[in-house]
Amino acid sequence: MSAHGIQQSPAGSPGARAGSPRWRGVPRFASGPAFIGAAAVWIATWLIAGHGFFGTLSIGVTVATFLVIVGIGQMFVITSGSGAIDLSVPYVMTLSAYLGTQVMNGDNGKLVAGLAAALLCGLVAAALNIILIEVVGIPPLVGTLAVGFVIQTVILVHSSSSNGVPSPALATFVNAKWGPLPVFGLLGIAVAVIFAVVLKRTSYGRRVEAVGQSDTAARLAGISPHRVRAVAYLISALMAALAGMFLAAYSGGASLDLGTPYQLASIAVVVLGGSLIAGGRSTVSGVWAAAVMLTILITLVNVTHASGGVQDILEGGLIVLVLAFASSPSRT
Amino acid sequence: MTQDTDASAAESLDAPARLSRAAQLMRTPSGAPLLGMWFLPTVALVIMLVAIFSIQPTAFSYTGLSLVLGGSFPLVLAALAQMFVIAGGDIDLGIGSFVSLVNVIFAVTLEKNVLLGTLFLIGLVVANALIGVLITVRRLPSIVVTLGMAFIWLGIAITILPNPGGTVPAPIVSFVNLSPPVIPGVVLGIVIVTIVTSWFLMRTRYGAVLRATGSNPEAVTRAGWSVLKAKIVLYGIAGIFGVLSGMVLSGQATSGDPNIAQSYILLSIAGVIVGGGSFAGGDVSPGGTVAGALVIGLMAALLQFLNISSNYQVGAQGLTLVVILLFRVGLSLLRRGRQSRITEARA
Repeated sequence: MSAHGIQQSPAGSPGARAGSPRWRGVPRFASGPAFIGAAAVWIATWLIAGHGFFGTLSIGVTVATFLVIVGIGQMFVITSGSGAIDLSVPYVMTLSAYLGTQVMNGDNGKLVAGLAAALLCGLVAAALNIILIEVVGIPPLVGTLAVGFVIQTVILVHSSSSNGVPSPALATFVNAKWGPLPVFGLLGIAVAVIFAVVLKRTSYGRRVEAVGQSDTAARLAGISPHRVRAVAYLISALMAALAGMFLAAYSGGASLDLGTPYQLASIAVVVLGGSLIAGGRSTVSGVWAAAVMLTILITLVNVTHASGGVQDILEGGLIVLVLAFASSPSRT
Repeated sequence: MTQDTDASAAESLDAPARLSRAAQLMRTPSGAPLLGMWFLPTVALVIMLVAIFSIQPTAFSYTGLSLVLGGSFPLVLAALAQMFVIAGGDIDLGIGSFVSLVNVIFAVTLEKNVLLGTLFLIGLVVANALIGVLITVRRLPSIVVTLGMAFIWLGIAITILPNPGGTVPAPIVSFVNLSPPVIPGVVLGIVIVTIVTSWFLMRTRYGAVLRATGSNPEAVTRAGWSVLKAKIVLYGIAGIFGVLSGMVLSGQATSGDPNIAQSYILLSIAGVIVGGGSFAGGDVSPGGTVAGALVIGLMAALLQFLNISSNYQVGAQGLTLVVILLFRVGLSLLRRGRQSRITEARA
């Protein structure tokens, strides 16, 4: 795996190393453009849609929380480098949504059991990912995809049996307001703050970035890259399971394509937020801002009654344009 | 550990040594090590075909083969498109939407206005080449750029054709379903693309340059070739194969659907990887890719013959992927063991 990572890196050549273009281009506040973009989209939506200045942001921040949770998990995986990526995210979300709601079955007493079932589903997916990628040595893109395909089959075979109902308490929580403030939106901000601390202030977080920057250097410093990446996959799968459960509660039940948009969106928010796709340096606040930006943008397109096609073109165009003009040059 | 020493050795090479290594790479476009790459997927393909023929002997006939292999032919072409991008060290997550858009153009635009439709298709190939320029010049992560493009292709397709419908022009349908005597058209098509792509990528000078772009762009530049031009060619060829894949798919489906090829994003990558390629860049095999894509595609046919619910299809494709990769890991471990024994004996 390490050889694979080094081969891909242009920093392996003497010229590139001397100039170190990889670090020169990284701005001090990598998440800045994402916040500016989110603010711009917020104001544009406020002016066009007329949902109120604060109302627009409130809805955006609430709905973005699902993407924030999944995106942060994906960010940890991507940060750990060597082409690490988690494509099993949407399948884990959908399966945990089905399992969780079936266990809950509309009963508040089974709320904890339902959440446990969802998390267990994430745990199993993470175990499979870790075995295939870190133990056997299959490329992450293919390994997580294969695990996703297997989970997809479980969903298809299993979901035809019965459709669960989320616990009313959880549904109330997801939609609750604390004065004028959306509780679930605040949860998203809290999650972002917690994981920002984990990434930048804890030993594990520093190790994730170290492994992402240089697998070999990290190993020489006494870090086990395999263990660090394994924990990253675990975080990603558990976050996806939680987000799936919350999303099922928000939308009143699970559906077959519940997780589908999050496969690509989770990767998009990591990159739009200012993290390096090659790993090694990430920003949690950027993930949050990018998630809010994408979510409000989708609201804006919906409000203007533009067709779904225009929405896709805008979303894709935004990703490509942001990369082409605002992003710092990074490794391919 | 062998990998680690290899990597550090490669890193410590000084410029002249690096250059001579690049020259070596270009002088021998195809060597013994590459021979092994298509072997495993081909064995898997033969096993798959034998299984299908033994369950359903009627499949071993002109019409049987056309039906069984026909369904996988568009995936083979999409996997080849993906292979050219992976050869350059990138990944194309836009291929699924690209092929879907081509299908929509065939079913709607080309049906109404042949000239406009043709220009549209040419424009798509050019646009794909320009993506290669953007990725190379701005040194952007291909995964995310092509992901963004996937949304754009899909958006255009939905704008042209919001719901499945339209009609693929009759000449295209009859061309795709051409039935030459003795050998089914599909078999002929698969053999031709395999030979042409293998020859171009593995036997020609420029094919070696293209592969080197993925494994060592620095060496390509120092040897006097343009990396940018190579990337344009790689993405352009990928676009052409995307159009071919969409054309065959359209001829088989006879109507348009903006979501028809969404599964190709991941299945095409799976085909290349099962076919012996790796994400390291430059490390691909056209023959292996064709076999790999057929294995992944035939899985669906095999399950159908076994009367297993189509619900299990994706899971079976995922498992096939894992099993073949496990074999590969095992083989490379064996090979590495043998090599270290040889070095020990020499010492």
